[in-house]
Amino acid sequence: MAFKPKGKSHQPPTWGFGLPPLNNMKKSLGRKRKCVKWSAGLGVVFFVVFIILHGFPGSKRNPETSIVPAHGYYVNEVPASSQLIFPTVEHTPILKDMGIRSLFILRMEVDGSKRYVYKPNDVPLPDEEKKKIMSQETLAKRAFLDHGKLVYRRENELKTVIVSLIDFENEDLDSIIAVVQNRVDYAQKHNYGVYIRWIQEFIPILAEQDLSRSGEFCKLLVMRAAMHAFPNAENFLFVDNKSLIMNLKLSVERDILNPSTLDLTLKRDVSVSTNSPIKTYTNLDLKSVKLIIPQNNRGELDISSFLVKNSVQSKAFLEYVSDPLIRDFDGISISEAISHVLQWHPELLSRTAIVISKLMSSEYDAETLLDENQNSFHYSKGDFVAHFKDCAVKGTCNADITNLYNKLQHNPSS
Amino acid sequence: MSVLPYYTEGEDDEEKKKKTLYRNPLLTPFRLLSHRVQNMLGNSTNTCRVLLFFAFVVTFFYFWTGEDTTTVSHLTGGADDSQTPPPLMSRKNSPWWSLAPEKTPRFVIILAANEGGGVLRWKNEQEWAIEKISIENKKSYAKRHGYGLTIKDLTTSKRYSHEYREGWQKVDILKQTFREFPDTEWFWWLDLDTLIMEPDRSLESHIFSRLDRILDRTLESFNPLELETDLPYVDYTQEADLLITQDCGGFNLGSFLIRKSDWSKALLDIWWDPVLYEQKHMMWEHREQDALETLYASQGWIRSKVGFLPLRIINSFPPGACSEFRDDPRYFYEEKTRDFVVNMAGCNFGRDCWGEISHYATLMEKLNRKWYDRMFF
Repeated sequence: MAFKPKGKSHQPPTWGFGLPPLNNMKKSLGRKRKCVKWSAGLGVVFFVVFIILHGFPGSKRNPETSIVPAHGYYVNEVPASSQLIFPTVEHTPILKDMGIRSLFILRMEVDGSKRYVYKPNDVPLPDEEKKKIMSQETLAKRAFLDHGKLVYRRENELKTVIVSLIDFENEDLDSIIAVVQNRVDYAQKHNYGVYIRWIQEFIPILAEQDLSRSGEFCKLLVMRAAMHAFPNAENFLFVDNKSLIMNLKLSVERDILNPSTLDLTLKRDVSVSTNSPIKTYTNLDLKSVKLIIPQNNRGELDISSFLVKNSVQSKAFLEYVSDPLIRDFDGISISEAISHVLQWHPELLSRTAIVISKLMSSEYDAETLLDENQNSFHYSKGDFVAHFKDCAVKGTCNADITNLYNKLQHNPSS
Repeated sequence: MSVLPYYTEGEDDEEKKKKTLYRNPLLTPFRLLSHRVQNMLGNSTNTCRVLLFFAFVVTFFYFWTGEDTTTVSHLTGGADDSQTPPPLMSRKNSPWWSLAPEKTPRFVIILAANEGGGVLRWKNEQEWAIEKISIENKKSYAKRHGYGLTIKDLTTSKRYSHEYREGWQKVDILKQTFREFPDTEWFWWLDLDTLIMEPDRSLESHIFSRLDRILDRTLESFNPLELETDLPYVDYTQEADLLITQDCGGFNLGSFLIRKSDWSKALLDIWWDPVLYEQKHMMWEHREQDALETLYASQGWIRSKVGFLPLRIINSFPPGACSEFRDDPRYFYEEKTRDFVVNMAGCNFGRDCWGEISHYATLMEKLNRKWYDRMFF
C-alpha cells in the first residue's frame, strides 16, 4: 500500500512502484506532512509486528461458560436467608423416634448388603408448602432432608464460619440446644456465620454406615459442605459437639490466625503423629498457613477442633482424606488418616500449622481446673474452647455439656 | 601539478552552510549529532528522519534482544537428579529488561527421552534413530516458536520399579521441571514416540486462542471409562490447569498440557500415595494414568481444573493404536485436516515403531515442503 498525500493544495505526484520519489519529496510534500506520514507508516509496521508477536489484546481467551453449576451432594439448592444455618433442633425427639430407616431409602445391593442412599435430585419443598404439612413427622423429615440444601450466597463482610455437627440419636435436646446456642452466641458477637448439620445427614455418603465407627469422618464432609455453602468466607472453624466455646471474646482472626499467636502455639520439629519419622517444619511460613490442627499431649492429632482457610489446598485436603480409598482403608481412624496424608504430602504439610491443643481444644477436666496447676493441654480460665475428651466412653457427654453450658451462662468468666 | 588543500573565502554554498553550522554556539550537541546522521542518511536535512531512525533502532533492538527465548537443556538427567540448572534469566533479575518481552518462555516442552535407557536390554539402532528424529522434531519446533525444551531421561531405575513407585517418574519429572522454570506458565509433556506434524502452528494459535471452543470440561459427550458425570463440588467456572486427552481406553498422558499453579502442585503431590497404591496397583495397569483417573472419578477439586481436548488436537493416533475402533474418526491422524501431533502410542507392543515414525516423518516433510524449497534441492 502506498502512502498517498491527502492535501488539497498539492497535486498528487505519480509514484513508480507505489513508492514515494525519495529525491523529490521536498518538492512534492511539506516537511511536516512527510514526518507525519513516515511516522504513521512506521507506526503501522510496528503495530503489525506487535500483533504478530503478541496477538490482539482482545483475543485473550474467555473463561468457559459453566455447564453444570457447582453444587454439593444435592443438585438443587436453597439460598439461606440468614448467615446462621442450623437445623430445627426441636425436631430432635421426633427424628429420634422415626429413626434413620424412615429418613433415607434403604437399598438392597447386588451382593445382598443393605445401604442407605439419598436422592441427589431431591427437590426442596418451598416454605409455603411446608406450612400446609400437618403431620409433625413428615415436617421433620422434610426439614431434615432440605437442611443440607441451604447455601449462603450473599456477598458481605462475613469472614469466618463456625461449623458443627449435632446428633439426634445420641444427644438429648438440652445438650443440642446448648451446643447450637453456644455457637450462635459466639457468631453473633463477632458477625460470623454458623453452619451446623445433623451428623445423620451424611450417612448415605459413607461406605461404612455405622456412625459409631465412621462418624468422625463426617467432620471433613461437613467442613467441605460449609466451604460450599459459604463460598465467600475466608476461615472455617470446626468445633465438635463434645466441645463448648468458652471465651466468647476471642476472635478467630485476631486471636487465632494472627501470626504472632500462631508463632507462640506452633509445634515445630515434632513428629506429625506419635512416633512418626516425619517432623513438622521448623520454618513454616505462617502467612501461607491454610490448615490449623491441634495436637494433644500424647502427640496425636486432635480433630475435635480444627480450622481451614478457603483455599485450593484446603479443598484438596478435605476431599482427599474423604476419598473412599483413604477413608475406608482398613479401619483407619480420622486422626491416622489425616496424619498419613500430611506425612506423605509435603504440599499439604507445608501449609499446615500443627499447634498445641490449648489454642482451640483444651481438654476439660473439673479436677485439674481446681488444681490451679496450669499445663498446656488442660482447660484453664480464659481458654477458647473446652473439650470433653472421654465423655463418650464414660457416657456423660450430655450432662457435661449441659452443666458447663449452664455454668457459662450464669458466670461467663468461669 | 599537485594542488594543496586551501581555504578561500569564496566557498560554495554547501561548504558555507556547514561551517556556519559548526560555528554557531547555540547548537546543541544533539543537533550536531543529528546533522551527522543526516549526512549519513543522505543529503536531505530533515530532523524528522533522524528521529525516525532512532525510533527504528530502538524498536529493532527491543524486538531483537527480547525474542530470543529458546532454551534447550539437553538431557538434564533423571528426576532423582537433585541438581537443578541455574534459573533462566528472568525479568526480576534485571531491571534493564523490564520493558522487554519475557525472557522466560511461556511454554516449555518436556520430552521424555531415553525410555528404559538400555538398562534391561541393549538399545538397538532403530531406537537410537527414533530418538534422534523425535528430539530434532521438538527442538526445531521449540526454536521456531521461542518455547523452552527440556529433554528428560527416563532410564529404568529401581526407584520406579515394581513395589516402589512404579510409573511415577512422570510426576517427579514434572515437579522437577516446575522448579527449573520458575516463571513459565504452561508445560507440554510429550512422550518420545510423538511427532509434531505441523511445525508452523504455535500452541497459542492452535490451542489457547480457541480453548473455549475446543475444550470439553465434562464427560458428557465422551466418556470411554463410563465414570460418574456429575460429582459434588465441581466448579467448571474455574479455568482448566490440566489439558489432557482421552483415547478409546480412557485418559491418555502421552501428550498433555499442565499449568503451574497451587492446584497443579497439590495434584502432583497427591498423585502418588502409598495407601492408594497398595490397594490399587494390581489394577492400575497404566500406573499414573489410572491413578489420575481414580482421583478424577471421586474428587471434585481435581475435576474442577481438568479439561479434555479432542484426541486429534494434540495426540492423534496411527491406525495401529486403538485398532479395534478403526472406524471411529475421533482417534486417528488425518492427513487432510493436517492434524497437529501424532503419537505412536503403544508401538513397542507388537508394532513397528521405526516403520511408523519414519512414515510420519516423511509425511511431515512432504506436507510442509514450501515452493521455495525446490530451489535448494
